[in-house]
Amino acid sequence: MVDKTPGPPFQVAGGLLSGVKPSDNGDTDTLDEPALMTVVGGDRKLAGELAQLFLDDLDNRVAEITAAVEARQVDRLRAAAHALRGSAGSLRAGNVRDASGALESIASSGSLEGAIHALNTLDLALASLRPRLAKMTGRA
Amino acid sequence: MATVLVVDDDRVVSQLVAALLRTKGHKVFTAFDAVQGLMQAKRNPPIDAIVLDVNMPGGSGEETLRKIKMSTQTQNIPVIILSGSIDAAGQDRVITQGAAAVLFKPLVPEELLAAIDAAL
Repeated sequence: MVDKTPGPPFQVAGGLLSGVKPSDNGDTDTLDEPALMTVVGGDRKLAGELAQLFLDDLDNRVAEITAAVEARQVDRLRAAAHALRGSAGSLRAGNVRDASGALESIASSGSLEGAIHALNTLDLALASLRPRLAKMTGRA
Repeated sequence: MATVLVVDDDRVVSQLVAALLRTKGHKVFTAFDAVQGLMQAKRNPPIDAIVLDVNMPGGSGEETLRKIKMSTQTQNIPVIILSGSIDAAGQDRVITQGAAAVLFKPLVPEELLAAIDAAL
């Protein structure tokens, strides 16, 4: 695939999570805990371990996505967004899955039009998801 | 009970698949990229089945599947492809290359366990 790198780099002002107030209202769009518990067969310890693995990898994944957008590297963005989408989907974290999927789709189109907006959407989704997962790990 | 190799760079998916398989009494090994996966596939005592992600660093799942099916050491191991994005053409390709089944992410436990049972 051709790595399209036209134009100047994007500037992602302030980085992710700046100025975002997370909500922790237990909504299933952020994290469908009943669905996740079904997947893990009711094993709360396993659910907590999965949440911790997700959180452990999250900063690096978000940094990779942000760097790819800033550098306007569509192949890099597609791969990074795809990876986050897969993890989020497995955890039944719908909003992050969808936001990552939107970034993956943007990258797959070969253009980065709408990427900043999608990144902000991901930012918001993550801000809501992080405390929910932290609670599941028992470390919140 | 069987020995299953899970090859996926996503630690969340890998841990989840491994845990599900262990609940059924299977012994599970994990690898986080294609190179590790190919090495582990040749371990002794032999692997009975492989769950393989289609998108990984160090070589795609399709390429890894091809290598597994080309090696006399591993060609008879059933391979279940796991993917978040494989299209119909990709599904046809991996089945033609010898995959036993194609499953989609997010993972549905019953589908995984049924595919493993069918493959063994």
